[in-house]
Amino acid sequence: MSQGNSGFGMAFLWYAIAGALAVLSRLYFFSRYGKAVSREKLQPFDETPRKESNIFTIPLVAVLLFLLIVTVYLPANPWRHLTSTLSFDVIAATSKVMMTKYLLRNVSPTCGSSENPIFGDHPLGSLTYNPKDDPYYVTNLDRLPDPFFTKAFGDAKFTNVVHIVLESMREDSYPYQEDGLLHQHIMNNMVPVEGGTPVNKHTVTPFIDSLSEHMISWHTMWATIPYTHKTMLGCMPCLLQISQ
Amino acid sequence: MEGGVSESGNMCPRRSGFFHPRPLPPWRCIKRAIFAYVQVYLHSIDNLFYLWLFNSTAAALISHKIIFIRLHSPLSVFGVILLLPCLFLFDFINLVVLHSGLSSSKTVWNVLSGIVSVVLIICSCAFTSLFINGNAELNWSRSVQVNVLNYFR
Repeated sequence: MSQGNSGFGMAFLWYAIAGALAVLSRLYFFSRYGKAVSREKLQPFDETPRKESNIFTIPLVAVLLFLLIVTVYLPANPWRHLTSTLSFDVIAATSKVMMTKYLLRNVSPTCGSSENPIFGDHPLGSLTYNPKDDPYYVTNLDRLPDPFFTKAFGDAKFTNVVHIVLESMREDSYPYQEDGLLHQHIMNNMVPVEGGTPVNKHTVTPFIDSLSEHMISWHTMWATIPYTHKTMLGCMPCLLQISQ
Repeated sequence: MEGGVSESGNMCPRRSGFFHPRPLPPWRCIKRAIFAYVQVYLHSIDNLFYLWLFNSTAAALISHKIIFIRLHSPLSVFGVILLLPCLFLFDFINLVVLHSGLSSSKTVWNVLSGIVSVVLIICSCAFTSLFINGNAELNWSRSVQVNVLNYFR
């Protein structure tokens, strides 16, 4: 889906090796202790005959139920979403998109055509959006500055404030970092044009250096790569266009 | 098996007593118990392919969760260790259900669990590859919209 370079194959290889280790261990133990390997003899402390496979006969189920109750009733924390598992994430994302795509496609007359509705993060898509309630369009000039910023700025005087928002831009590409992943990808996989402009921070992002002395950068604000096609900057066709 | 001596001469008693033979050192009992549990686990799924599939899925789910925590890192190391059971709980439940399906004697459950395992491995590979190459998290909603729906359009 989001295959990048050889990462997908490498990850699959590691998972396959992890699975193969268990198979090889079983074959090794079977070849060494072959006659002792049977389910009834391998039960370490349980001499009762093995019942038919049932999820509720697993000893850890009680512990899991206890932890499940604890996890469900955990107070709201920023890390709480980390408890979700991969299958839940995929199923939730797929069902949300399908619901938006097939159930709400004909009831969005103002937000895109019925053939191409606009998707949103809300389960109801963009149907509930109202610009009057959007904080981005609501002025806050009638309020006092936030005390945090007032304290942080101190006696500094501002003549101009430039707020640069880069959507889906890699952190190491603006300002361009010559030790970043993008630069490494270009150096390792691209052939430079003879007589062309060298790829460095002075040629790729020439003006940002003059602002960087008084720049505040939020390093933890990052977007995932599949958000827009602009993130395909590192792909080969885009770079070829730049070099031409 | 009275008094902790098994029929096969096992010297690891389940309960100790006055007139019973001296048991093995605890570490040997622990070692034997761990070995037995590993053997039980390795033979809990008859089919070798399903055993391979289950272990690969377990590695995929655990790797995904570790990367997920590493990307967000909202907790300290101590906090992660303290909350480890809660963070990995649903992954473990997922694995328990998959194990139950793969070890079932019914082919339907085997095939269904196998398909789910393969899908999970593929999704985890995509997530991991994006982390390796872009140090970013994969947004599943956007991926489904951009890739899957456009493919079938």
